Amino acid sequence: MRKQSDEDLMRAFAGGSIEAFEELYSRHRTALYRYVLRKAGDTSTANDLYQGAWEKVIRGRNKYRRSFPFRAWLYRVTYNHVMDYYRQARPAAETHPDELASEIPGPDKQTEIDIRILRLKRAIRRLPPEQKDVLLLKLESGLSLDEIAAVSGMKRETVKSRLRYAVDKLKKSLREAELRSNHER
Amino acid sequence: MNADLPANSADENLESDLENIRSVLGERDSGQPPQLLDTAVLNTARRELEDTGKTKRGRFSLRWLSAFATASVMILALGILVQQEQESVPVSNGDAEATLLQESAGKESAAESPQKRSMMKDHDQAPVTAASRSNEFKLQETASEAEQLNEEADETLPPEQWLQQILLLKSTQQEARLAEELAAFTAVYPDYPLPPELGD
Repeated sequence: MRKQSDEDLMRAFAGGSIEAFEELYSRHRTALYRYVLRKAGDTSTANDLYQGAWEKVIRGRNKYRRSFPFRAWLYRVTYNHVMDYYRQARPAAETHPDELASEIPGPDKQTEIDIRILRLKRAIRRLPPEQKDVLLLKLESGLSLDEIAAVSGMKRETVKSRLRYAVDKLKKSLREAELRSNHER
Repeated sequence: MNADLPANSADENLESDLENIRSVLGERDSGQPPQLLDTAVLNTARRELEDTGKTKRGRFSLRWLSAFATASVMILALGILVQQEQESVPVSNGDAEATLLQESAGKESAAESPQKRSMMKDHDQAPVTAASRSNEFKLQETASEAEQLNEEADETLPPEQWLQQILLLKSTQQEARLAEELAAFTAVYPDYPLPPELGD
């Protein structure tokens, strides 16, 4: 049996099918949650934002137009919801570079992988917001450059250059962190 | 901004770097939303659909009521229109005309006819509307009948017959009519001897 597209499922949901929504939700829940989690930084805020974004999708189901790719629309709704949250409620919350320090487990439990992940997360947090947005959309949602441009309202070339800057900064941060670590040993 | 970068190799490097980052982040990070959050979102969707269903049912009943009310008003308006049309059609029925003539003949006397005629003339000058056209038609019929009666009354009677009528007026004590008729008689027949009953 042919798998239904996201767009068909969304239309079926708008027509009153809860099963269609359950299928859509199961397809996108993990990626969307990870995107929000990376964006928010802490689980509590991420949970609120994630739930709020899905509520907007549910309530806006009749506004969705089939001509627009569902995944791009989903991330656009979420992106706007997250941006509104940081604009209104917590203007300084997004840039908190030392927040992750509390997440680092004790030295005896640390493994190489843990350290690498935490360094990467910290480096992502330190990115300028506009670069971080683009990077997270690419990493977590798997959207194409065109779709990210549609979600964020930027030009495709701007998206691409910000992505490149973000990746370069991450690589540089990780190299520096590794050098510091080696030096301390 | 990136015009100096060779497009293909730069894109490939970017994709490879992103893939490395993705793999590192995904090694330990399950990133699954909590079970409670899943339940909350799905319940919201169910609730929304239920609410929409109720609203749709409510809207349907209102729509039905509204359509019914509109149809009723239209039927009523159509009925009134048809009734008005029927009332404004000129009376062409023979029975109706006969009835009208009988009524006018019974009510109108020969002496009242000139007044009636003037009323008719006044009425003729009034603005003509669709509704008044039928009344005008009836009045014209009445006027012609009254005119005919008046002409009969205007014919000068022989003195004996006239005097008989005058005596009848006296016996029925119609003093005003009596004086009028007597004056008219003496004007027409100045030398005709009056009976002793009218001599006074």
